[in-house]
Amino acid sequence: MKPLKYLLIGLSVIFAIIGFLTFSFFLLLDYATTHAPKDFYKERLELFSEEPLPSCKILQNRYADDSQVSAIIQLNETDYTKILKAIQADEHFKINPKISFWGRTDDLIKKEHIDINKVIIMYKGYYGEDYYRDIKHIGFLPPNIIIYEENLIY
Amino acid sequence: MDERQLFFKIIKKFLLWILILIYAFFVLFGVYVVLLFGLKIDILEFI
Repeated sequence: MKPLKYLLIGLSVIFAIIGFLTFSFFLLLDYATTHAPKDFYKERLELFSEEPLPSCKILQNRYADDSQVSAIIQLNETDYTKILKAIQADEHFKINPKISFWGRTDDLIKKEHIDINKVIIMYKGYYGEDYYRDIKHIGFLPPNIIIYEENLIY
Repeated sequence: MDERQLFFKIIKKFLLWILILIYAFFVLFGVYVVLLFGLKIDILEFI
């Protein structure tokens, strides 16, 4: 019985160390990547649409996570149409409303009553880094962002 | 045992339980991380 007890204690200590280290790492990473500079996403969207977007309202403004949505951007109908046109003109972009959210993004979507079936999601994961390097004018494109038109809130 | 001693005894027990819970959290988080990054099993996906 004793070896089993020591094995369990040893395993739990190892897991606790791994858990502590990764938790601290993600906490630091989260701290370092929480906020993108002001207007970071707005500027890049304007470069993409090649038109000014005065109604651009940034609801979530985070930096490069691969797995999470980094920005949630609300636009009025006019500006939303500009983006939509730019996206439709770009054959690389797809519109995919089916995505699952979790954590803070999920909370924000619930809080802002965003209908996730009616948003454009510009999702980094579908295209990879190479694609973004090739886009004219953009340079570094924001990672996963959700853009929605303000009238589409339910 | 006077009131003061009893108070500290309860506080000690309380703190010990808090530490155990924090330790348990890290153990579970460690298990989750090992499963997620090591074996590519996301147990939260099943919830």
